[in-house]
Amino acid sequence: MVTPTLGMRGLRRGKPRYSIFSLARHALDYHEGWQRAWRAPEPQPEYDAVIIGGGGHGLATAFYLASLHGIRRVAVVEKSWIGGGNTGRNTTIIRSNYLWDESAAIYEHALKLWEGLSQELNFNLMFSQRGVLTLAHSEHEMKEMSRRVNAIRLNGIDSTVMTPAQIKQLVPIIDISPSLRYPVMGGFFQQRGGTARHDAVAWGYARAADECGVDIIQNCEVTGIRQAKGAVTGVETTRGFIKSAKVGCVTAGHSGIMAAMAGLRLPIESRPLQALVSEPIKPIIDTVVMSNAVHMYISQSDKGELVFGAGTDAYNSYAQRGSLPVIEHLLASAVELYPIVSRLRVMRTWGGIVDTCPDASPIISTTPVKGLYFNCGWGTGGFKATPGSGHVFADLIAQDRPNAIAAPYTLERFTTGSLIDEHGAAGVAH
Amino acid sequence: MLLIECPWCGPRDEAEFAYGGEAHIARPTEPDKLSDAEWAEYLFLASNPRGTYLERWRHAHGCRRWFNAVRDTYTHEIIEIYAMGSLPKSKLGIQAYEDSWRRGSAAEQNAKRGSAKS
Amino acid sequence: MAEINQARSPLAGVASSEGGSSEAGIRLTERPFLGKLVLRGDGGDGFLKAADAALGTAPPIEPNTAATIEEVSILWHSPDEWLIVTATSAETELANRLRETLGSMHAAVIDVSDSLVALRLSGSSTGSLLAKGCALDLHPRAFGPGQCAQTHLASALVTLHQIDDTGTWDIFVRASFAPYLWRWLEDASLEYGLAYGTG
Repeated sequence: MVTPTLGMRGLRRGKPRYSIFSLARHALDYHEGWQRAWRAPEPQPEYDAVIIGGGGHGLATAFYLASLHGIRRVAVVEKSWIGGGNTGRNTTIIRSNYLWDESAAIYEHALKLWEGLSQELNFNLMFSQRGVLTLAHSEHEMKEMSRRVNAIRLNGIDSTVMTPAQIKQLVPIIDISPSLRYPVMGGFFQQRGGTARHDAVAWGYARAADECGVDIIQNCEVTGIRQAKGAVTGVETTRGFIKSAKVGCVTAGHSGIMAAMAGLRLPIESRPLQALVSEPIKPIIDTVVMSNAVHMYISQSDKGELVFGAGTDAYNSYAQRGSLPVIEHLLASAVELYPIVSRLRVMRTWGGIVDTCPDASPIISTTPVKGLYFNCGWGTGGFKATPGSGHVFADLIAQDRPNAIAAPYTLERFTTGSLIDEHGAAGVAH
Repeated sequence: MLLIECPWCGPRDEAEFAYGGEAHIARPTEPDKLSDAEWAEYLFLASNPRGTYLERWRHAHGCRRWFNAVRDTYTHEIIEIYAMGSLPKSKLGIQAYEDSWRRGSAAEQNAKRGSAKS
Repeated sequence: MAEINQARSPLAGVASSEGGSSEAGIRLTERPFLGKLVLRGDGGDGFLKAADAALGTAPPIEPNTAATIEEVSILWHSPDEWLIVTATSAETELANRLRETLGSMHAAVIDVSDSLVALRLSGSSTGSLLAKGCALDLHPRAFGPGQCAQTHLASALVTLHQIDDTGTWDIFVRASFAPYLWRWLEDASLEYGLAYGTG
C-alpha cells in the first residue's frame, strides 16, 4: 500500500500554489488573475477509470488514483455540482473512536491523512483538531464507554475518560446537574478529532485531482452501466457514452440506483439525515460534543453558527429533507443540555440522503461484474472517512483487490456473517 | 411532516407512527433449505427504490395496528393505504408489487413451498 | 397485619387539589384511584354480546368513540381493545363479571388501574390549551362529546375523552408521565388562569 508523501506535488502540473505570496501578488491586480481551480472539460470517449459521484469520497478516489497509482486518464462524473450531496450537507465531524479493530483501522487511517491534508492539497480545509467528546448518560453507557475506551486505546488511538467536572471545564455551556432527564455522568474524549470545512474538502480534492489531469465532469448524470462478458465496459451518461474498463461508484444514498443499472442489489436503505445551524454568535463552544442517548451533537463553525445534528428520520427517502419531529426532538435535547441555546434562532435546516447498512459499516468492494467497484454504505458517518475512503478505494480500483484496511468491508460479509456492528459508535439513530 | 391516514383512526401526524420497512417480504418457512447467499439476500438485500415503495407502518401512539402504504420515496406522497395481509389496489402499487425482485427470489419460493405443504 | 396500605397517587406532591380563582379559564384536577381495565377481544358479535352482558352496554365498535353507562365509560382504543373506566374499587368486581360472561372466548381483561392516571380538564379555554400540545383537530366541527382519541399531548402519550360540549375532558396518561404532563398543563394554562380541584 502506497502512503501519500510530500513528493506527490512533483506529479502535478504547474498550477500556481496558494500561499501568502500568491495572495499578495494577486492583490496587486485586484485578484482578477486567479486561474480556475479546476477545468470544465468535455468528457473524453474513453478513460482508464471512471468515478461515478463527485462528492468528497469520489474526488479523493480520483486524486489518489492519479497521484499515487499512475492512472492518469481518470474522469469523475457528477450529476449536479461537486460536493452538492452529502459532502455539502454533513455536520463536519471528524474522529476515529470506533469500537472494532476493522473500524479503528479505516477511520484512523483517514484521521492520519487529515493531519497534513491541507498542506498536501495546498488548500485550506480548515481542519481543526478541537477534540470530540461523547457523553455517557446512564450506568449502562458508562460501562459501555469504558469498554470502548479500552478498545480504542488498544488500537493505539487517543481516547480519555472524563468526569462531569472535567466536561464542565471543557464545555462551559453544558448543564451537568444530576436533575436532567438524561444527566451527564461522564464522557470520553478524542483530542485529535474535530472538524473541517466540508465544502473545502470537495474543492481541495477537486483542485488537486484536476492538477493531476483528472477530468471533473459536472452536470453529467450516469443513466446506465454497460457490461459485456461479465466485465464493465463503460457508463452511459446524459453527455454520451464513456468507455472504461474500471468504474468506481461512490454515490452514497443513490448507490442502490447505480447498482440496479448493473443488475446488482445492495443491503442499503436510503434515509433522510437532517442538520441545522443557529444564527451566528460569538464563540461559546470550542469542541464537538456528541450524545447517543439524546441523539444530538453540537459544535460551532468558524462563522459562529452552532451546528447541530441528530438521528435519521425513520423512513426511506430520496428527497433530501426530513420532518419536523426530528428537529424538535434534537432541539429539546439541545436546550436541556445547553440552556444558553434556548435564546438562539434556528437559521437554516436541511437534509441529505444517507445510505445506511445493516451493520452501520461501509461497503468497499469488488462486485460480480469485473472492473465495477462500489464504495458506499457510510450512512451517517462518511465525512470523517473521506481521505481514508478515497485512498483505499483508489487502491482497490488500481489493484483490483482490496488492501488490508478495505478487505473487511466487502459485500461478501453479508453472506459470511462477518458483520462489523458499529451502531453504538455511529452516535446517531439508524 | 407526513400526514398518514390510519385505517381506523384517520389522518394523524407521522410522529404517532413507527416505520416498519419494506412490505411483502415473505419469510422462508424452511430456512435451512436456503444457501447462505439466498439467506443473505432475504435478510439483508434492500429494494430501497427511488419512487413507488410498498412499506409497513404501525400506529404506535394510537391504535397500535399495522397497515401497509404505497408511498413515493422521492415526493413523500402517500398513494394508497391498504390492510396488512392484502395487496395494493392502486396502479402504482400493483406495478411496484409485481415488478419487485422479491417476487422471483429464493426466499419467496421457499415461503410458498413451505406454506403449500401446511 | 396491623398496617392498612394507603394508596398513593403518582401525582402525590405534584398535583394540587385546591386553589386558584373561580374566574380561571382552566380547571385541572386529578381523578384519583379510578378503576381502569383494558378489555381485549375480537370485536365480533359473540364477544360484544358477552361484554354487553357484563358492562350494561356494548363496547363501541366505531373508532375513537366512547360509550358511557352510569359510572362506567368504555373507550375505543383499537378494533380489539377498549379502555374501561369505572369508580374507585369497582374494577375488581367488574373484571370478574366480564371474565365470567366472556367464558372461554379468546379475550382478556387486565387491571390497569395503577398504571394510568386520570385527569379532568374543564373550563372555557380547554380547547386552546389542548391545541398547544395536541395536533388533532379538536374543534367542535371535527370532535365532539363522546369521542376519544389516543394521541400525543406535549410529549406524552394520552387518551383524550371529550365529556361534554362545554370543554370538559378526561385525560388518561401513564403513571410515569403524569408528573411531566401535570407540569406541562400548569405551564400551558398560565395565560388562561388556572384553578385546581373540582370547584
